[in-house]
Amino acid sequence: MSPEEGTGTSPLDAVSAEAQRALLERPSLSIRTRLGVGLLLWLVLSVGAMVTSIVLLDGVQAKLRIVGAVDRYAFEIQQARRFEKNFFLYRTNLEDALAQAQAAQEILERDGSSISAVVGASSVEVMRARVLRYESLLSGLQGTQPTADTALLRAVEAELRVQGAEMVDEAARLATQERASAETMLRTSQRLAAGFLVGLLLLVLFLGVFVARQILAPLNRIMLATRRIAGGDLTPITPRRRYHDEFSELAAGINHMLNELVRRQEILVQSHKLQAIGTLTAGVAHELNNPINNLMLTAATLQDDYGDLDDAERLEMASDLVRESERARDIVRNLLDFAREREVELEPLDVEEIITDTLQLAANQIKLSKVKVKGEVEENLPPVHGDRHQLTQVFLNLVLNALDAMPDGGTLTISVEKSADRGSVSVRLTDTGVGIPEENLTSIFAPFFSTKKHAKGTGLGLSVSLGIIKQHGGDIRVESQPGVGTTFAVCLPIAPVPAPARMDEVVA
Amino acid sequence: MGDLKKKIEDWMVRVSFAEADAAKEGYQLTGVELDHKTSLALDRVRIVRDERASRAREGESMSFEGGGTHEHVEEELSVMILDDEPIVGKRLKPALEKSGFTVEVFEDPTLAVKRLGEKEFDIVVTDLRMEDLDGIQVLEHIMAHCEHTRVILITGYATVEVAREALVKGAFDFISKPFKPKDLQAVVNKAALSLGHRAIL
Ligand SMILES: Nc1ncnc2c1ncn2[C@@H]1O[C@H](COP(=O)(O)OP(=O)(O)OP(=O)(O)O)[C@@H](O)[C@H]1O
Ligand SMILES: [Mg+2]
Repeated sequence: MSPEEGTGTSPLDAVSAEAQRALLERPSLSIRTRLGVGLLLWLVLSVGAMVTSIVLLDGVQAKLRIVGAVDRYAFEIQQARRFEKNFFLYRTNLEDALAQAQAAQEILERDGSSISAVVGASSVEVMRARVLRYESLLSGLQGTQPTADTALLRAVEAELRVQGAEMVDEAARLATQERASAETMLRTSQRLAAGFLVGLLLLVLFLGVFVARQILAPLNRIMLATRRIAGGDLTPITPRRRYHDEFSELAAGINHMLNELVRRQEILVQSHKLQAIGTLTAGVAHELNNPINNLMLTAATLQDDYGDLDDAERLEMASDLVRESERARDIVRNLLDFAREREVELEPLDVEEIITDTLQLAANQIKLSKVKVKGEVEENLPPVHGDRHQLTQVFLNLVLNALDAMPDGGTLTISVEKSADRGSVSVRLTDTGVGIPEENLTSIFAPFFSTKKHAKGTGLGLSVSLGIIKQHGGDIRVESQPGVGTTFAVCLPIAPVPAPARMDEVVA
Repeated sequence: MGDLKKKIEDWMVRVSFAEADAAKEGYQLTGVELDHKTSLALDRVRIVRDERASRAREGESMSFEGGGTHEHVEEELSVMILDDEPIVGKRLKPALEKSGFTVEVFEDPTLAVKRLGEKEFDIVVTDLRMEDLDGIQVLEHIMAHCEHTRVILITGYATVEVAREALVKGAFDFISKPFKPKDLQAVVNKAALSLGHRAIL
């Protein structure tokens, strides 16, 4: 390989360097971070929901305890008032009423703190003041005689009644209020549970979509890419997402591998080209003999008979010399042109022209092998997109294979036509050679498969040709009937297929 | 003719035996060795031919001593040049005519073969590699139809197989491209000698 080749500046190299850069230069947001954030969110949500429901239930429990205490308090007060009423009606003793009022006060003392935490210290104070007042009124009554001043008694009775009613009302209000607030709390905790469920569902949904989008989709695209690569298209993977993550690393790894593959493919193409040049050289050496012989005959005649020749004869011989020299130059030139190292260069190409070039290159071999070549070219063929020299190498190999298959001569028919769907041009090379046995039909495209004896074939020809054609987005098919002949059909897409157009369907 | 052919065949068979032995002992005769054998074979063939030619001359001169003249022997020999390269004929024709041969030039082997049916040439110089009909086929045709014609083959380069085939089939000699008119004159002269003519210098 020449030094220029060594530095590797084929378009594919540039594309792959660009893809590699684009893949790795995006802002980095790894899947691990993203999954971590998702799980953290889940954790926060769950813990939050748990804690709030624990707190709420605690509150409900406290409220219920208060409600219980208030109920008991109200009950005691009511009992006290019944005894008090009996006292006024039947002058029964007041001890029972006083005991009940004391019990109510005890309840207030015991649960006062928890109640005051909920309803405020002032209202508890008010309640306590009322109970104390009630008690003091009752104990005031205890000493008086039933016959005592009825007016005073009536005043005390009225105040007792007011205080008692107030106390019962207050307790009832408090109980209702606390019950309602407990109910609200319960409802809130219910809603919280429902909300948490919805949040959980949303999170699961999000994580599901995330897994599908962020993991399965790139995986899927990478799978598609590997399938495409297996098909022979070695254009590198380019980024499609905004962030760089583990898949970008994977894609970069695959691209690296692709680079190696391309380089290896180039080496194979090159070594097979050398082999083809070797074959052609033998033919050229043969063919060169003719002009050289003509030159020798003419020059020797001029030398020996110069004096005997007239001017016209000498002039004719001189022009023969020129013509034959040109012929020799042309014979060598095609081969030299083919042998020169080149960068891959994609351009619109006329298939017919490539076939003509190929036949010119192989002209000596064709003459030697006594094979007749026929061509059928459809009119107005659209151009295909590709590299002139690589395609020439493909067709040269197919022509040389056909010649090898017809050691005793035969006919090689080359037809060029548009495919039925007009999306491609197909070139069919049909020989009347030995054919390929069924069991070899699949192996002929494998590298190093050759049936040619005495190291005549490297077995690289078809494998390299298929590689080149696949890189052009085309395909090679073969049909053969042993003893009758073989047809190789090369299909080349018309549209400018390679790198740019297909890049965006690419991965990661 | 048959006698000569047999001798050549014997010799070639021996070459084949040598090759077979080599194959049995597990080595291949290299190109150089084969070429060497070919040239040995060619030398051998030439010696045999010269012997035969001189014997023929003696025989002829003896048979003509009885009172015939030598005139018809010294008649101009007819030469056919067959090569699909026009310049070959163009240059060789005057050269051979200068030496006293009558020369007819053909580029198309089919036409040449047709002409061979009409006229018996003394010497045919033919290219080996031609389209349609190659030199070997022309040689076979001549061997089958014109017993006295000497055939000189022009080859690109004499491969062992072709040399052997041509010799076995009765070619008089080879000349390899590229050659000078003088080289061909020499070979043609030798052929003329073998036909009982004096060499024309
Ligand atoms: N037109 C054909 N007719 C019959 N057999 C063929 C034809 N083309 C290819 N083959 C078979 O396929 C094999 C592989 O061909 P390929 O071009 O890959 O290698 P090769 O011709 O053997 O070697 P190289 O191309 O290096 O000279 C050949 O050895 C031959 O057996
Ligand atoms: Mg091949």
